[in-house]
Amino acid sequence: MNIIEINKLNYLNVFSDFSTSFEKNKLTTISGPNNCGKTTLLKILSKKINSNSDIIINYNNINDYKINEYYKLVKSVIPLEEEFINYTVEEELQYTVDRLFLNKEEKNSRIKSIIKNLYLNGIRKKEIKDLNDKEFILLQLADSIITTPKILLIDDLSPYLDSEEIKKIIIFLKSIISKYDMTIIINSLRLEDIIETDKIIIINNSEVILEGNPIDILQKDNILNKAGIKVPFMIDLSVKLKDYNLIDEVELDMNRMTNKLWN
Amino acid sequence: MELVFLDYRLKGENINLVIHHNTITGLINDSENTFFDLISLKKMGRGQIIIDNEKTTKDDIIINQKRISQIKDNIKFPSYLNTIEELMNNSFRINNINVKNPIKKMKDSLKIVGIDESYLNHNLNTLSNSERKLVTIAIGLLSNPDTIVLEEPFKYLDIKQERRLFLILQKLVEQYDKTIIIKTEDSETIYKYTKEVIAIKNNNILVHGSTDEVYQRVDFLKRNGINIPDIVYFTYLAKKDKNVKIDYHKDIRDIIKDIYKHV
Repeated sequence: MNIIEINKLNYLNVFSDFSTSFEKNKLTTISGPNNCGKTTLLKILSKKINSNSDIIINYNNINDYKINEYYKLVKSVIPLEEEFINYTVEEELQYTVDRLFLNKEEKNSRIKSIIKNLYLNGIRKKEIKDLNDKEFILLQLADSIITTPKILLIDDLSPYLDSEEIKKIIIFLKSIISKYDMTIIINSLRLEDIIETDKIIIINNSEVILEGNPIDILQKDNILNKAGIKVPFMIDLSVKLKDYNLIDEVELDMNRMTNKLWN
Repeated sequence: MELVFLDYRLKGENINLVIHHNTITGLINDSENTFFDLISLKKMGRGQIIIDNEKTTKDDIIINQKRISQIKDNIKFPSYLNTIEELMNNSFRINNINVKNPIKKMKDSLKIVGIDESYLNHNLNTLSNSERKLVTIAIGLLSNPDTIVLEEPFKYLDIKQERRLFLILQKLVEQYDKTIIIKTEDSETIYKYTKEVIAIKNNNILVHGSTDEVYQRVDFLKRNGINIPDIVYFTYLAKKDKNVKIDYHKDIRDIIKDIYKHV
């Protein structure tokens, strides 16, 4: 079942009759080369920019929502593009959950969980004005996730967080997606980080050029390279070794790969 | 421009360092920007600096600072400037750069980084992250520097743009006699694109040498918290755990051929 349907989106010179959809309760990655419109699409879906196109969000047209109602339904994390009104990280998170009409136990449980899973423990007392870029983005993520929106949109984190950090965040997001009935879309240019997501959509020149399970899609190295997208090393190696009939399937772990080749 | 720091005292450390003329050098793990600023002559300590075989005085340093362009990551464009032309004019003014034909200089700088001159009138708010990155580099070229010190130049770029920027940097070294220093946390791009590498630990030089040779010291680098490029680490595992006599390569196609010979 699709929770987002984009029909013939037109926006400046970025999108021309662009159509795609996003499944409910899935964690979907959007990828594509520079200037393919990844961030623009997220900003359109988060109503930060207006496209006047036919976009269905949670069964209603995006233009039919009142803005306050929409911002409760859809949260977006565009790195560094946010202003917080509170003093410290902990105060900000407390302020956000206090507006959610939850019982005290649930509020405390959410704060505890988000601090643990986004590694905020060391900075919970830190003043927001003193956060570095990475810490600021983790707070942006925490402040959005803690509200468990129906739709969460996350722009590319790879310039700010390393691969292992993003992989852990993705595992955490996958663990809460069903519990809170969420749908998550994440943009990423660094594909090794998003192998664990449910689905990947590759866009280029205003069209979806590939979509499906990440492991299957990332093996289409010719199409990806042609579009300017780097294939993760272990997938690239696997695909090429498969071509030489040296292995049968993709292997993401280096130790297991050496065992397969030389045992 | 060759820069030599001889028994140079900075932050309690004794530094001996040569930045070779006409080379692309990588700088890794410089988390406090100590060496990034030192090489840019923006942070001074005590000791001897020799520039192009000439011992320098404090006055010489001030003159030579203008020969070096430091291009930082994540520069925030002033909100009162609207277009790239205004931004570049602002750079002429604040850096006291006098050129006969500023518009031609702006267009030439944009052309070097592969941006069309029509972008001069582009609104800064409509630039994508990768365009902002390339514009920042173009601004750094306006003063026609001998040495260019870049922070995370490949961040935000897809593989096509990354390769294109590398070719531009290579051209600046080979045809325009520039010296390039790249500070990044991305070991993959350092391994692919630099001839020499300087790894920093605790504000001192951990190792400085040929990039190929330094990255073959995998155990040493790992012990000191330096990230290893995937292609190097895979080769290291094959050699160490399986005693396979394959060589270190930069191109995945070369390692595939080597594996094929050794299975």
